[in-house]
Amino acid sequence: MGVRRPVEEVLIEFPEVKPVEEITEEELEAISGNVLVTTLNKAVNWARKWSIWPCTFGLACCAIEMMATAASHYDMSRFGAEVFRASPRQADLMIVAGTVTKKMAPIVKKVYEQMPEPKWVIAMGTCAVGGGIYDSYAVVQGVDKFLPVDIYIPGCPPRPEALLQAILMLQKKIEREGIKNKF
Amino acid sequence: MGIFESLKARFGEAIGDAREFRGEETIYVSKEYLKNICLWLRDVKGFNFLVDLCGVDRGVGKTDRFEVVYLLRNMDTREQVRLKVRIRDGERVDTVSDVWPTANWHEREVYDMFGIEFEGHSNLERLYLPDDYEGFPLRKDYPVRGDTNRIFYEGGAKTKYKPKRNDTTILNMGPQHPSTHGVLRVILELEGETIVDACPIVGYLHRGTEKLAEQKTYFQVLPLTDRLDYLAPPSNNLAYILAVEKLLGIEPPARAKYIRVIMTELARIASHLIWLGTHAMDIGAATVFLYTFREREYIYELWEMVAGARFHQSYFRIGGVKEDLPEEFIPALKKFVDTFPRKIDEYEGLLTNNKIWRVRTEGVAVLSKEDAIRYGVTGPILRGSGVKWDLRKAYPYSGYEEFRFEIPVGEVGDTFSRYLVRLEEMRQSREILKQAVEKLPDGPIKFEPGKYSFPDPEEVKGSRANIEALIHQFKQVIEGVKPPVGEVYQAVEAPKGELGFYIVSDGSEKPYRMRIRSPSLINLQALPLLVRGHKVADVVTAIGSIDIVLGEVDK
Ligand code: SF4
Repeated sequence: MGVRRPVEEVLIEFPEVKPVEEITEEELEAISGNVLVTTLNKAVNWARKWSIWPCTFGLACCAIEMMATAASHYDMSRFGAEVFRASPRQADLMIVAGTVTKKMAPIVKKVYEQMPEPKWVIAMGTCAVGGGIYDSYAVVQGVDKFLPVDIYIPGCPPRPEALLQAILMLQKKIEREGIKNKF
Repeated sequence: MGIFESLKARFGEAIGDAREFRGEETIYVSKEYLKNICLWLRDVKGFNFLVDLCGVDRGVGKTDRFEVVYLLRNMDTREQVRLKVRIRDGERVDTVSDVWPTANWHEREVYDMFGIEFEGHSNLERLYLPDDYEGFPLRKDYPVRGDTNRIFYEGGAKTKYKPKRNDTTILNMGPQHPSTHGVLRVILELEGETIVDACPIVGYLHRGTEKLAEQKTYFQVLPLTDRLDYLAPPSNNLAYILAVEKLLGIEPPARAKYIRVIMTELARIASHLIWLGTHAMDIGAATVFLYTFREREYIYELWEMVAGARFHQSYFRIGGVKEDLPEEFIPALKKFVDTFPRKIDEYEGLLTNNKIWRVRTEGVAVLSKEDAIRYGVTGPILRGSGVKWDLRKAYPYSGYEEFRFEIPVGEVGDTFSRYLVRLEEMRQSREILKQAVEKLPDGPIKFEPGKYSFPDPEEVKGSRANIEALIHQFKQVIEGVKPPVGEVYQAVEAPKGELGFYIVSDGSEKPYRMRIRSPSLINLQALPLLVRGHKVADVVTAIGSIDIVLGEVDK
């Protein structure tokens, strides 16, 4: 059990701010190695790219390969993207893994809209990319008909390595983004 | 006296003529007497199991444009008979959903696809397509691509459910839900936490496989079948290929049969592994998933060796298999066969005597023997309810009669029984694999290559090319095989239950009608029976233990 202290003691004390000219040699020595100079853009993007949380959302066969990617053998957590969230409100990546049918399309869109910004979309498999072998009355010919897609993965189904590569490519893409546009 | 004669003796004029093709009997009956005939067949002749019910469009302009086809089975004598009713466009047929409750969804599907209405049906709505969809896709005059301008059908997102009582709460589950194993949607009616009723809504993955198949040659249909039960593609391939072979009247060589058995038994294991992993995860035991995927990866590797693809192999061919097994396959399979029993023990160690597992599965989602049969349930669920029924024994195919194995059956019919049945099935599959490796015969792997499937690649290119093979190649590319006019039904014991293909051939290079009897769909229909009176948390247990896969449920 912690001891409850009076509020005054808890207050954080800020060191006095000195003009740059007054910093002594020793003080400089003491803080060297503790300061990182970067742009805000880079810092934010760096943080974003290493903690992509995908939405648990499988549509068809490709979802099984997505599961395989997350499971023991391929272990997606090596790339910081293993925290599958069942609620879209906690996710920032939507992997559209499978066939999007016309009945499902409004729901896919709703799930996407429930995800908070910043968010990204990977279209996994030829079905999500462009309808695949299902050129029929029931299937939407590609999820990009109604969602902005960041990365496309061809294959029926794509191998887990391909999904991992897509994650890496997405990380590269996030690195280059301006955070002003995505907040 | 055969079925036809006794029907004729009993109903006289109401019975039309009978046809036989490849040992399957088809009897035309009149629409007015249909229900009486069905009741009589069920009660007097013991046809207690409705295997399948589907529609066929005979073509625009025909006087009796539609056919409704009923496939019945007597599970004791193993007799099967197909009844057909012919009707004009706009005519109605009596429902048989009160004779066999399993017909309920079948009839809704026929209505959805053909617009045929059933008199006396309790809830005749579209099964797959959204309510605001227009047109009936499986009619021959409906374009494959449908209305290309519309992407959204809001009917999928709207809730349409009439509560049974007015003091209950409605809870929507899915189609985006981690424990519905895909895009299943269930609407639950609750009183507090107890389930009053459940209503599964399917069709979120309806991709139009049956319509697409009508546009493709027999060989081109094969990749579509992979994607039905995508947890066990070789089983689907096998069912389809056997149906086409039956239509053609050919038989593959012994080695091909054995290779097919090896692939499909691996598929059974692979499918049950995913079932176990996800089912346990739903109930809260996350570790099992990582264990089962370890073995599944190994099976993927085996498949890849043989077919070059991790799943969706499309490796079987009409009359055989694509290529012979590679050298390294048999040793790798042997290793799997040797080590796998220990792995099953490992899973059992994690679950079977785990107190939480027992509490969550024992006595949960019980299905009685009688209900299982009435609802047309097949596979491990039927066996879990204590019915010793397996198509590999009942109607052996692909050389299964040469293998020794047991059919495990459960006693109680609850989730735990089904769990034990599936675990034992994995052991039995391993037995079959072991025998297949030992007895694998040598010899050709295709029946008359060139005539029914593509010729050997060596013979169409390079120095060994010959004109005969080139002609075969050309013919295969242009039209493939052309079976005689007729119709067949062929089923296999897939991991989920009875997977059957009913193919109608009009003598051309494309199937005139291909109907898929998918086990998951029909098993899912029993879900309300399983969950009524249980708690909300048991719904995921019930869904998991039915082991559905949406590709097959929705087709
Ligand atoms: S791309 Fe292929 S594997 Fe993926 S969902 Fe479509 S059919 Fe299935």
